[in-house]
Amino acid sequence: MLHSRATSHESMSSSNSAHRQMFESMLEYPSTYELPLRTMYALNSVCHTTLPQPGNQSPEQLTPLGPADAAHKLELSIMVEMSQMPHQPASLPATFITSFVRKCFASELMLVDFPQTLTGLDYLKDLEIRRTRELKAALTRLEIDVDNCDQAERMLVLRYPAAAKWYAAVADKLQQVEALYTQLYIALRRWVSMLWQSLWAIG
Amino acid sequence: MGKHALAELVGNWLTTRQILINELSLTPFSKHGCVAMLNTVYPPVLSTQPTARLTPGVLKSQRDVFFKWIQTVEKNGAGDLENLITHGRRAGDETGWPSVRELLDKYLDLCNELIDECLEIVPIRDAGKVPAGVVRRKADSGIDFAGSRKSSTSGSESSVGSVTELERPSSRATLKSSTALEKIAREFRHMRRMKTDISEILPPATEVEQAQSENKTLRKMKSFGSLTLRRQASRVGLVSTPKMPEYDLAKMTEQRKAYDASTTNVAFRLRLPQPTITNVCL
Repeated sequence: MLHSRATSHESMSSSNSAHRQMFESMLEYPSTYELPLRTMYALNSVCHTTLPQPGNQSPEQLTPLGPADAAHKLELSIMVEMSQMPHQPASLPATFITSFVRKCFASELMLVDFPQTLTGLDYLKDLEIRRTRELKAALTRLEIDVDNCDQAERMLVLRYPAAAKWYAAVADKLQQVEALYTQLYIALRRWVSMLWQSLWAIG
Repeated sequence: MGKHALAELVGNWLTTRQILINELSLTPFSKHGCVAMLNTVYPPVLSTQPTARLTPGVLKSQRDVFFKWIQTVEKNGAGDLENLITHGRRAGDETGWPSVRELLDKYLDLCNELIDECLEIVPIRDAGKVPAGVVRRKADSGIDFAGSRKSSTSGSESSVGSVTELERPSSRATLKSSTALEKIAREFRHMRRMKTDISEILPPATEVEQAQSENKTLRKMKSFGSLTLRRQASRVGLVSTPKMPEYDLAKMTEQRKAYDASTTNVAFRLRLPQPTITNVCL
């Protein structure tokens, strides 16, 4: 409704405004179905050929797995069957994800639930997507888009003061949460991949 | 690790770091497994960029670092464990893990805060009914299809209408109208499907029923091969029997009441008509 264009002065100086950046950084959700990490790991584990690896000049022939092979193959077929089931892109409740992830990635390192860590990573991704989706939805309800985002605060003060306050703070919060997720993405993968091995010694 | 060193470790009070290094040192190095893990957490081709900062360049460099580590360990053994485990460690911490866990807590707090705040935003055309400065805290309710029979907790909410009754994100799954019986049956199916995952947040009484589906004592350190198959089967459950199981309505209603009473999170009763695959537990 109120798509009044700002004066040229305002729009030029705010071409990199926090709000505009916010829109630009909100990435699209995965458009294709993405396999759960545990499925991927199972698939990767039974595969007997190598992918070209960085720094690896000649592909090596990997030794086939032993008795675990059959288990892997069975697991694989279950996974494939599951992935072919119809599904809908709905999210798990945020509170469920939060408590699951806190329990899985326990404060005490020795209590970290290693078999569930790949699922935990998927859940975190789910939460991040949910957050993005809710933000986009909220902005849509407020009729704010990338074009009017810089004038939106003034408009909100007039029509929806409670949201104006929220809107003023949201761009910064978004930057923070993205930074946190980025660091977490890398840190958790390092720990998960490092510690995953410790499972193999214990039968 | 030499016998002498091992005996020493066992004889002393073992720190977390020592236990971990010990276990990792004893683990026969499997390059195959490591490469499988590498390709899992840092796939060669990623369909969607996770965040704006996790560019393909960044992800590739993480992948390269990990691969170099694999090659080093293959050649020289896992000698660098100490560094790996203490990487990023804060003063007073034994390992780098507590700071990662703190990162997780900060992320979860902020992310949930953002989601909750977004849920409070009503469409602007209805904004006139929202008193200035009011903050309505809502539990994360997801899609609350039975919203009409749950009365709002505060008077102001009922006059404005909760967000769930107004526009909702259209990407949500919609539910065809159904009888109360079908709704309960659906919830029951969903609960059964989910119960091996939520066993930790349900009160202990209900955990007894689920003991058969998950051996908790083995959860801490378990070999991937032996554990996952059992867990898969228990969670997948309905893969081979897609038709609805027999149900006892009275029992289900009773279980549902107990479940309701045990969790304040109304959101958990998410009306998913089918199991979601993407991010649901395996």
